[in-house]
Amino acid sequence: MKLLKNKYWLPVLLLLAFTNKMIAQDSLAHELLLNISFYLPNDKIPYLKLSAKEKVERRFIPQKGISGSVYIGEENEINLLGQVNTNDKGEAIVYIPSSFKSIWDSSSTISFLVISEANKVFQSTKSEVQVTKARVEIDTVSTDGIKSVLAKVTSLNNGQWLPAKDVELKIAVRRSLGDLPVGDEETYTTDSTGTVTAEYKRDSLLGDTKGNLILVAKTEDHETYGNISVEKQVNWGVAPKFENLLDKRSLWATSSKTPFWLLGLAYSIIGGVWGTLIYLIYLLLRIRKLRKAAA
Amino acid sequence: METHQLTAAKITHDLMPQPFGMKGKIWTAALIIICAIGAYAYYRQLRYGLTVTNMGDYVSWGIYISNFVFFVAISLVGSLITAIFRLTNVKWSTPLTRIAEIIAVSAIVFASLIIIVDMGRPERLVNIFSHGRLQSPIMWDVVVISTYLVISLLLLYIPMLPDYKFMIESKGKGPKWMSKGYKFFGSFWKGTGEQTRISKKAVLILSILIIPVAFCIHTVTSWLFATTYRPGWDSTNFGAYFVSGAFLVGAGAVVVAMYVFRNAYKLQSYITVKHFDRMGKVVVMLALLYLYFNVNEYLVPAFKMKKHEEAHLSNLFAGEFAPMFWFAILIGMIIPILVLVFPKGRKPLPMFIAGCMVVIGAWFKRYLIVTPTLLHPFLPMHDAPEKFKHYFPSWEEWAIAMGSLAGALLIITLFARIFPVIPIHETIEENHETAEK
Amino acid sequence: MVTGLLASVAAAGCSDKDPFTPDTDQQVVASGQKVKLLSVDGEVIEVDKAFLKPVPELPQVSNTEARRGIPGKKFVMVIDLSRCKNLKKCQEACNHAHFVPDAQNWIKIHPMQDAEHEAPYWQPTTCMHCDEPPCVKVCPVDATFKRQDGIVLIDSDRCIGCRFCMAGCPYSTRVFNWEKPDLPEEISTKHYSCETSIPQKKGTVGKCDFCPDMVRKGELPHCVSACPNGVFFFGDMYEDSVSNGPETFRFSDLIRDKAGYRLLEDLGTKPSVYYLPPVNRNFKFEDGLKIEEERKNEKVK
Repeated sequence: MKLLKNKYWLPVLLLLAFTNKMIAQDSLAHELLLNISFYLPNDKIPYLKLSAKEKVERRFIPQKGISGSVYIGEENEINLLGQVNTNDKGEAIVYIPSSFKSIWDSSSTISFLVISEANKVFQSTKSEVQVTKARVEIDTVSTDGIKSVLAKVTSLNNGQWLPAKDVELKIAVRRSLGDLPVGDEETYTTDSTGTVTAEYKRDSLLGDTKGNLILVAKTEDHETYGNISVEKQVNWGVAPKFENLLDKRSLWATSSKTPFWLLGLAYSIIGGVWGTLIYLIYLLLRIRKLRKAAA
Repeated sequence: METHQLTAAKITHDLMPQPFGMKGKIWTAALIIICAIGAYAYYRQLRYGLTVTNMGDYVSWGIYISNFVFFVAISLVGSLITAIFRLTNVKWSTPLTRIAEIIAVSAIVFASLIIIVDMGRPERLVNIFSHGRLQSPIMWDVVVISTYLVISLLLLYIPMLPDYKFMIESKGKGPKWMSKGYKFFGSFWKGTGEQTRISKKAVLILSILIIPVAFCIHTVTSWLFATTYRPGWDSTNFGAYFVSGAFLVGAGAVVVAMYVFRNAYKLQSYITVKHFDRMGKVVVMLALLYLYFNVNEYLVPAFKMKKHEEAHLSNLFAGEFAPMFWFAILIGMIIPILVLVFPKGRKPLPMFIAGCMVVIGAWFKRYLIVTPTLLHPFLPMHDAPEKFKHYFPSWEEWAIAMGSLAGALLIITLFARIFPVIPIHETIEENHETAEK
Repeated sequence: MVTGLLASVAAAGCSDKDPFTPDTDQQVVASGQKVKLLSVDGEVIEVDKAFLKPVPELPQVSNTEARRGIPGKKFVMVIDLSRCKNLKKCQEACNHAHFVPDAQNWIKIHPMQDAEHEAPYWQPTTCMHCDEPPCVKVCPVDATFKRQDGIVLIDSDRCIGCRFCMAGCPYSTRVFNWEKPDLPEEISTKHYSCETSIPQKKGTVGKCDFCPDMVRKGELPHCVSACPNGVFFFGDMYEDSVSNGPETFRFSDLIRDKAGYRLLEDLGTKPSVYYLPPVNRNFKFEDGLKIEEERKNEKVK
């Protein structure tokens, strides 16, 4: 009763109600880290990769099922390249359909925009990337027994392909779980002519059955050019000779690959002992047979 | 002296299995209750998993395994008393052969059962036969244990054939199924010269065969530990160490059984003071042998104190396991030796106490072989629950372990109810021989 | 040119192809529906729609295949002790990815100090996948086995729970499912595969499996990707290269130059995990102790 007599009871009550809602919303304030990058493998089709993550404590957790609309240029229905959902790893890929040829050809620098749909956890998020068209090529040189890899980056400028300088490249040999740099340096930077030479120091590396290796030169999330890469097959590897571990007999092999000495020893002992036991059973049966004989 | 007054009739009467008196009934009932509690504990283990035990990722083997080793050890007595004494023409051990064999058989049966109890997936036991790897010491153990069981059963059955005649003839004294059983198992024995000859040949072959198999059984069991790298197990001494320990505990078990049967069935004329005296000397010799192997097993690594063995050895000599370690050595070996070295100590009652001490000391010795080593792994015990860093068996483990011991005793007890524990026929024969002399 | 582009488009959507094994299981069937896309020069290319979809999940590997392993590979791991701060992200990722039951850790990060005056350091310990595996030698039913790619796996459908392998392992890396693992419904009813080690089963043994399911997809094991300091490197000894994601090194050079060693070498187990000594650290060992405290407090809560 005393409370209601207080003339401020209504504002206080309303304030309490809203504060509750605000506190509840704060605890739900999740920030979506949306990223869009441009990929252009040499002589292949360019694509855009979306990546959706959330930072929880100190880890980045990939977000699945985020719906993103990708636009070429401004946010506009005609500019919509596609709408995709991120997968288990929080990634999605979008290609550039041929209908956008005119926009694509219009300038050497294109910008791409992704807008994610708001859902229960995240609000709508935007991310942009600007890309200047560029390409990278590699060539191999072998002089006096020293092998080198030559990489050249060119970018499109007013319809002309001009050398691009100060571009950091990774020049490596493709391996199944990573790319092994060809030399001691992690990255190689192009000079004013847009080229850089890397000494190939990976001798006697195993290749495929014919000794072929795949050389790779690529940029990693370059601010202007995105991710451009090129692959080239080269016969600098050694053909492998694999010995199947499972062919040998050993103590740790499967039951069908028991070492012969163990098989011999075990079966001769078991055979000897159980042979004797079978003989003994036979003796017992003989005793039994003799039950009809006179005492 | 007493044997002169014995006639065949008296011998037969004395040695025939008798129904349980009050003590026998209470004893059997107690054993059945302990077994039942063990069975209930096993039901809980089957339902909830091995988590009902206190084993953990470090102490992954506990008293089930130490009980297993204990049982396998005791089972060697069959080969000792029956085979070795037979082959060396020791006559005084004749009354003890059957006791030794039944202890061996029941111990081996429960060794197999307790191993199945220890398995995480007992229903997959058949995998050992369908997917077995001959490279594994467990396979060797399975083969040797089954072989030894068959040999022990044959060595129990074949020498007992002549006694069936007496058992069949004494019908009317027991339940009908017993006499039916006797007839089935032994009525074909007529005691003819030919049958006797074959039977003696069979027993001779078995006696020779069982000795290497007995050595194998405990050596292979010791290799379950010696084929690992762990401190305390990584020893070349293990085979001989285990076998000598097995003979000792087997002999101790026979001494205990001798005393109990002698008193329960009034067999003073058959298991005489002289028997105790001689068994006492056997036990002393075996205890000294086992003590010798113990010295080799512990003194030599202690001299070197290698890094990974240091913690384990210090723990045994002066740490957490020291009381148990010294208890096992004193009670299991030293005090029995001191008691039995003197003729007065080899009288029945002190022998019985010494026998009990040997057996109990041996049980703790097996526990000391399994658990302390597992508490000293090469890498630190870390990133694991606290409770994994200690081990004391849970009530379920105790119940099952005690249940298995009770079960073994139950088999022995029931055997004595159905069959004569002292070979009747052989006793009569030997009595005639000594009378003729 | 067009066929080349068609094939390369398939590659664009796929994971990295292995240069050694023939392209058998990544053949995509053309659907007949075509889509027009642009190349970098503005050329219009027609591509079959089927090639644009990412390659579907590889079918589950059969038990026989899981026992044989991936031919022509021998997996190794290099753990750089000079980078490990006991953050335990590897442990979290591994436990999470394999639904490892609560009391277990397949990766343990041990505080080590070999002798009084020697350096204290944090040592992440996985299964060593030894070339002379004592655990495989003693298994009575072939439930744990070594494959041709060097990985030692456990078949939880065959394991009888005798725990001899646990006694035999000198690295104490194996754990046992003493009770029924508390798994979410959809995981416990999943079809068991030795390569994923999911779902774990009561009464059987578990351990680190070098994530062969990830490796088949051309991805690194979970612990390797999860470590923020790049402590773990994983790769193929035949390819002679190990990677932690961003960095790739030539394995033989790395071990030779940084004096890599293996644990308990004198036992003769021939482990597949190499350690780089904890030299030139720019952090204190004691910092890792704080995380131990935090973990203990979390558990108490």
